[in-house]
Amino acid sequence: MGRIFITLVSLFVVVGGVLVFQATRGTSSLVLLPSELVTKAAANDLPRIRIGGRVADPISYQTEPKIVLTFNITDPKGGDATVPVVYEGLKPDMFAAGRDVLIDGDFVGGSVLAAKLQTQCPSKYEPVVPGAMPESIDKERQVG
Amino acid sequence: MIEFGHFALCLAWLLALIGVVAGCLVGRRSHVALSHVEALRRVTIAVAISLGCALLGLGYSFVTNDYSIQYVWQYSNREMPWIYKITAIWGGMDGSMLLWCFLVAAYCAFVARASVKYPRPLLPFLYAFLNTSPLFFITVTLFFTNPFRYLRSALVMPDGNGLNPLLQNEYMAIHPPTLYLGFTGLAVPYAFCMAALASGHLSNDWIRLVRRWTLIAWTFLTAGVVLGGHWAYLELGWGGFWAWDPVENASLLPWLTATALLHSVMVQERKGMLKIWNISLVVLTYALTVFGTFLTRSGIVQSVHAFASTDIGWVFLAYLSGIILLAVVLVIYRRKELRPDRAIESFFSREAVFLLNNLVLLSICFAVLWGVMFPVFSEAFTGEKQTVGIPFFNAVNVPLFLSLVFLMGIGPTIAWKRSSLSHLLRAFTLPFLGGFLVAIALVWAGITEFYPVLSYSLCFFVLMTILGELQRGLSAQAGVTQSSTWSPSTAATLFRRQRIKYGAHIIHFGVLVMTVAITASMAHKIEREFTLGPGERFTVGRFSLELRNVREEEHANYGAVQAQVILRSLKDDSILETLRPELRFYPKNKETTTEVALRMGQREDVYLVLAGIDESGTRASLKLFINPLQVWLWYGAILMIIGGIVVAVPVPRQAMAKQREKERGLQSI
Amino acid sequence: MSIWIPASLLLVALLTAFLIGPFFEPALNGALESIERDSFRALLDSKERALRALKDLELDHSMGKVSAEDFEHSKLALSLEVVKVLDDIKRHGGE
Repeated sequence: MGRIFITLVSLFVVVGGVLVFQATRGTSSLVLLPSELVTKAAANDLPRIRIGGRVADPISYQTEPKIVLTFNITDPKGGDATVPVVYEGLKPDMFAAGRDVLIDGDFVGGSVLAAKLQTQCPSKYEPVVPGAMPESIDKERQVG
Repeated sequence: MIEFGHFALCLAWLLALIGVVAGCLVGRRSHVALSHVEALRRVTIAVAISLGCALLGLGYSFVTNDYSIQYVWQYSNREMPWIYKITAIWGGMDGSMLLWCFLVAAYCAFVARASVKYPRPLLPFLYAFLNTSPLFFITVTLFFTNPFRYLRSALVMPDGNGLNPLLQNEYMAIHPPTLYLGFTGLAVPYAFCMAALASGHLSNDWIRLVRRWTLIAWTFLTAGVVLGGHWAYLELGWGGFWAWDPVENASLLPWLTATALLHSVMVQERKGMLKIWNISLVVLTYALTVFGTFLTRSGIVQSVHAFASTDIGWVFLAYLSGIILLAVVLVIYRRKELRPDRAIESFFSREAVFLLNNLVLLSICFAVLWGVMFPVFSEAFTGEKQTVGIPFFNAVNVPLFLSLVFLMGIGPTIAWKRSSLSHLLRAFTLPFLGGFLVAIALVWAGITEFYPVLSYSLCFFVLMTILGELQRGLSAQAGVTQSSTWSPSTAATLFRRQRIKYGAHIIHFGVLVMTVAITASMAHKIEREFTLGPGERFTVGRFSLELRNVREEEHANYGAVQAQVILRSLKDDSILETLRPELRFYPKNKETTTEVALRMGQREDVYLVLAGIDESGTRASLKLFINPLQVWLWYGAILMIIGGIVVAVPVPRQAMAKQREKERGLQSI
Repeated sequence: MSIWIPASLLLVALLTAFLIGPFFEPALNGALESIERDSFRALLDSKERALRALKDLELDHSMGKVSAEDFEHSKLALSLEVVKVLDDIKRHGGE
């Protein structure tokens, strides 16, 4: 299609590829559930992980002298695995026991030091909370 | 009333099916009856009418508090103001799909109305392909996410569950519809493109129509994406507006390819190049809108936006595969007519710069797509699920976006085909020097990080090129009309004559403003956490904050704890504003939310969040963000939208003058 | 609840009338039109492109972006192109 066209496209394929590859290698984090983290980590520290789980008690939120939120997370689907989390930052909206959260951080010394904590946003696609509706609801609508 | 809505939905499905099948059958003939073409046009409009009835049926149930319907029960309750009862229509998956169907069909109906002026050979297949979108989305709605279902219960529910409090604000009323108007509008260029391929009518007509309709959808999409960011900034309390979340990225992907398309179509219109390239972009853009909604509703990637994992994933994938396969087949079938008329002749031409622009935008698109899908890829190929987050997206996209800004300075200034070296030197020396001086000044003032300095310098460079173009245009126009270069009448004539060019300048200028704002709010943001008792003060930047007191308030459906904080200017201790950040508790849903106290200012935003209060109820723990130039982000976005409207909407008088000019061109040479 | 049946029937009736209208319209009835692929269209496109390129060239030259030499050279080439296309169009129309 023309020399200039091919030159420019090739240039971008190479530059883009290198950029993406380098950035991926430098910033990717392992995605784990609490149960997977427990089996995988044992006594080792794991840097740069993303962990999704369900908030469990005890929850402690102190705002003096620093803002720190401590809680446990378990697998959303249930199970015994429990991982303690420490987050130095504001308690996100909708944060409560039983809510699902996404955490980015490092696993150090047996607990997750969270750099970023997000609760599931109450968007349109919120799963139905079991028990809040009459039993004869469409079974398909419920999310495990 | 929902039986009526349900019936209307089924009717719409049937009509869309007729439109697709009949359109293809009629299009394959070499001679068509005009009555058939007109009937097809009306079918397209009828689909929109039926869907409108379906949407009205659902809306009626919301407004009349009909809690026998599951969807209404789930997202509405009696005490909600009526406006939120209406927005609750798209508060959940089912209703939002129905809204999507209606908006797609409405676009098709508008095209059908305008189509009486379009080239006849395109029409049958145009109607066929227009109706494929409503057909697909109605199929998904009808069989997977049907809002017209009763609660299967003998009880009549007295009240509903209600829309989540975080969604009960005005942004829920405007962000989804605006965003959807952007997404669904991109089905129209797709229909034009496929109609051209199927019918073989591959002249400039289809590309011209594609440009116009893409621009309309692009303007809505820009507005929708920015509204989402603005809403996140106001509501979510983390001081930012974009988190590279998969759902956010899903709205950005088609925006990137649509922007690329808007530039490369100009090359095809003028030079007859990049034909297959543009076809691919149109199909890719449409596929990305389908992919985006698939991503949001199928739950294949984790996001803070909660997903109901349903089975609709495979339906979307099947449709996506079908779209791409059909496009590939048709392009191969028509490859002879799609050969380029000529090749790019010089690196220093607008054609080359537009190609570069496309390549940068596609690189960003690829990078974002890679980042979104990386968990899926990594698990498939390595067995371990990995993800990338904000650091990845920033690492890749910051240099790419800055390259785009740089190209924005080059593209409009450079000539088509080949620019003379003397022009390049004249046009770019001063702006380059200006940018360089800005860089030196910034470093001397203490800003030494690489990307902020580069960003500001580039923006200044581009600004100077825009002004240079303006000056050259005005003096050329003044030469023609024998008027003064800087007089308003010269400017008015110039803008009227070259509305598209100067509308584009407005859009580019908006991008510049946004770039400066984003750079400032990212690089120079200040964050502080502190606790204050009554009468205590905290100083930061050019402000001081003093806690007056902590109050508790009871409202209809929530209880609130509010801190009253007095914001003063440090310079003269004058009171600027009383900020009232709140913590709200909704007993019904057992949820707490934060209400941010925000003071928008031309120099910076003061963004205050109440983290908590102590046991005595008198001391407040606060988190403060100072976001420099934040408000200019929204101003820049408004400029982009204004520019989009300027380019998209033809002035009637100008349209006639253009027609006359065209005819004159016919006769003269 | 029983209102939905007459409402639905009304909708169907109205839309049906709307859709079969063209088959009864005398102006449209029986009219056939060829939608065969048209090489004439391609010629019109070429003419439009050539005229546009001339216009772009004039504009770029008036803003000083193109050297005088390039301008003369390109203007000549484009004008010849336009003449050729107009010739082709005339011949095509004559067939």
